Amino acid sequence: MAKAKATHTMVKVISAAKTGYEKWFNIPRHTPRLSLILYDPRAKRHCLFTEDKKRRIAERTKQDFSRSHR
Amino acid sequence: MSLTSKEAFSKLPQKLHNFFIKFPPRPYAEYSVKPSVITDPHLNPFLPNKNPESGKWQGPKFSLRRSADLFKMAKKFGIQDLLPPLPRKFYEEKYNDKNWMRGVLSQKKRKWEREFEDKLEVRKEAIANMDDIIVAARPSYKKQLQKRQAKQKTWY
Repeated sequence: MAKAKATHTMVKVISAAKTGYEKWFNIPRHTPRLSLILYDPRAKRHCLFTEDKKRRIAERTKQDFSRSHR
Repeated sequence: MSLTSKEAFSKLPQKLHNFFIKFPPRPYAEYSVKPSVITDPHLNPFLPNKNPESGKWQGPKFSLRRSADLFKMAKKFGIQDLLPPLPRKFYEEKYNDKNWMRGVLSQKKRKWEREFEDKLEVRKEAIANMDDIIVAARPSYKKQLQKRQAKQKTWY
């Protein structure tokens, strides 16, 4: 029997300010790609943090805001 | 009463005296600056010279130690320029006209030291453009920035 996959994954987000500052999060699997605005103490300001590695994400159909269904 | 050149020559130390007999002083004989061939008339006794037939090199006729001895002796009398050119430098010339090593003049440094400036440049640029980077990923951040600017207090 293959090992069952855990419900959560550890994910690393890296600062876009290229300071090398990174944060880890334990998030549920298949959640969309993280893109957070957190404080970077080396840049001394809030910066964009994005994930560094690819992982499997649940497919989400893009929401249709047009009234074509009416 | 000044000496004639012949009298002065006879008063030189024995080593110098004998050397100048074998290898006449510079204005009267030429000596090559670089290592040459043993058949060359302008052979430099202080430098190694090659035997063209065998292709082998012969060591200098006067070792570095002996050549330094001769130079220092000649310098005392002020006739060091009469000797053939030596491969090494002495006294002030040694320190003033030093042959610096390539690695001393243009230091290679470590890889991280070479890349460090560029790294800081990239970081500086990223921090300067951070607002734009955030707005590109999250457009609603623009409103937040505007609110912040409106709230900003100035003393004038």
